[in-house]
Amino acid sequence: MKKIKNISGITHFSLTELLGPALILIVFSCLIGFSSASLMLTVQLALCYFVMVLALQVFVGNSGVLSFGHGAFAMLGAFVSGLLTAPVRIKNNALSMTDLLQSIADIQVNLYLSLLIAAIVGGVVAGITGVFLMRLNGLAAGIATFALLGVAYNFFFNNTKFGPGSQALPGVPKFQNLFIPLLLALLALVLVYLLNVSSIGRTLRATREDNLAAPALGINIIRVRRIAFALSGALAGLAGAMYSHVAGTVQVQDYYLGFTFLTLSMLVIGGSGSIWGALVGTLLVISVGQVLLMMEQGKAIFGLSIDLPNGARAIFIAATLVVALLWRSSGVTNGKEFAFPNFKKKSN
Amino acid sequence: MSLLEINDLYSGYGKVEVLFGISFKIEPGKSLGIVGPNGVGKSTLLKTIVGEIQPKSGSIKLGGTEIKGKNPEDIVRLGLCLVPEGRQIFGGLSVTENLQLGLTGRKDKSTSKKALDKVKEIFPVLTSHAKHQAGMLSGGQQQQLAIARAIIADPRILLLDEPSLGLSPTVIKDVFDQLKSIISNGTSVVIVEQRAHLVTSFADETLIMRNGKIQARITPEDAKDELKLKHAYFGSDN
Repeated sequence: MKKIKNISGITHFSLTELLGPALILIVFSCLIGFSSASLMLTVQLALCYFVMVLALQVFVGNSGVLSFGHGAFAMLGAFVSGLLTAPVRIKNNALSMTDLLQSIADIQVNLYLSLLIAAIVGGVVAGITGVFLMRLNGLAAGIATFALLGVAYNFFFNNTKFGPGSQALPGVPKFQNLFIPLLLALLALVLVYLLNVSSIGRTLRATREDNLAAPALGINIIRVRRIAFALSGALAGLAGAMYSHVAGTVQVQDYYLGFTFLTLSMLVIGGSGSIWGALVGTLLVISVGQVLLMMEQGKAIFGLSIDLPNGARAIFIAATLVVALLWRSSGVTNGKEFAFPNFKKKSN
Repeated sequence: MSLLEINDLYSGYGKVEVLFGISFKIEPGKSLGIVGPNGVGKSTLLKTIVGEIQPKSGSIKLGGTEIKGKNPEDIVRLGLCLVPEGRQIFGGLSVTENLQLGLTGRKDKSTSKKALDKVKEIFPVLTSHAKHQAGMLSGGQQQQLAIARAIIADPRILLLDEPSLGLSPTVIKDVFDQLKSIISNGTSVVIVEQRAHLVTSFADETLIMRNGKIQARITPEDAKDELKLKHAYFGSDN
């Protein structure tokens, strides 16, 4: 731990803050994931969402600048990884892929390499777009990043040279077990925590607190935001790629408005200021969402059967977001990192 | 060569002109006061020097180098730091994190730890509150944190905008004692204040501003003459 503290710029490294969320993630994944095949799929999806929420936490949480554009990087990551891993035979014969560029149809790499490439592509595109977008603040930044999401969606939806267009890309290899997505989520967790306690994380939080005072200390706001945007774009690319290997397919609609709204809700409900908030938000929304889904499907939960109309899940999540914003705008965790509860009584 | 040299500076906000031909110099290890009633352009002058406002004309030289037109973050790296009015500390971050942010503008990163230890020595109260949120500190402690954060960048010249604002007389004395210690280490200090007595007795020279111009320059000796000080501050009609 002392060695980590000695790395330039890194301070406040706390093993509890890192190990707490990591252990909870492992226990949650194993307990729920191994109970049934359908819940294994739910946990795999939760892990993808968690990596995406971490990506949002790095940038949105630390800088306070709203971004609707991270879905574009996830979309890009999903298409890159999906197209790189889908079998050549399927890409050359599927009805939805007749216009696909031959150079893309003929390429196939292994799953791990494709995940790495997806993250790199997400990071590079975020780095390039960040040059322009990171000059903006507040509403302008929100609208511009939303436009980026719109551009990415329309590009992939209407272009059949670089993917299946509005159709689904079939044959994307699925994760065979829980361990790979869990390992990737843990890796993302460690990376984001180290970034948050580094000088980059600290500087970003300073720009969120007061973007007029920050330059007076020699902080180049645009530069530090660009770095964070590129890093979070890489994580979003990884999250999108993971999602495609859980679903076994890539469909552009999966990474558009619903995905963006859901992952931002997770971040806000949990608390955007910490990785602990990202985890709590993801687990809460996924768990409640799963229960509501079962109710929508008319399934009994612990012997109790409550029928909910279709769409109740989305309404509930939206309502929870509104309540969270009104009641506790800094989220359930109040934006704080994990800490063991202090049961010691105060001495008089 | 003077450390900071301002020549015939005109500045303002858009079409509104605030400063009219300001000129002054400050030497290394010296202190300069700038006083005047509200709205005479004191803060505008500081904001123009640190690059937050671009001047209309004139020159601002730091160690002989023209800094007019440079970004605030580049000016900090050249050794000119501002402690703004209202402190502008990062209330949601800890005291230690606030201090570490001061290292951003420091040229020599190899001595960062030494610099952190040094400011904790000058401002011992910050050590005992190291892990606390900066927003939870008292006004005086926040002012000390803002000054400490600025001097961590190892500036050649430190600019302070109303450092006594909202502080009790005892805390003001503590802050000014600490400023003396900073000056004795070779850093030049420019203090902008409304409280003329506080600065005129402290600074090597004090400029009195009215209507965007320098009306008088007084030494601590001159300041002992109450009438002279009043005339300089309010104008000879008062």
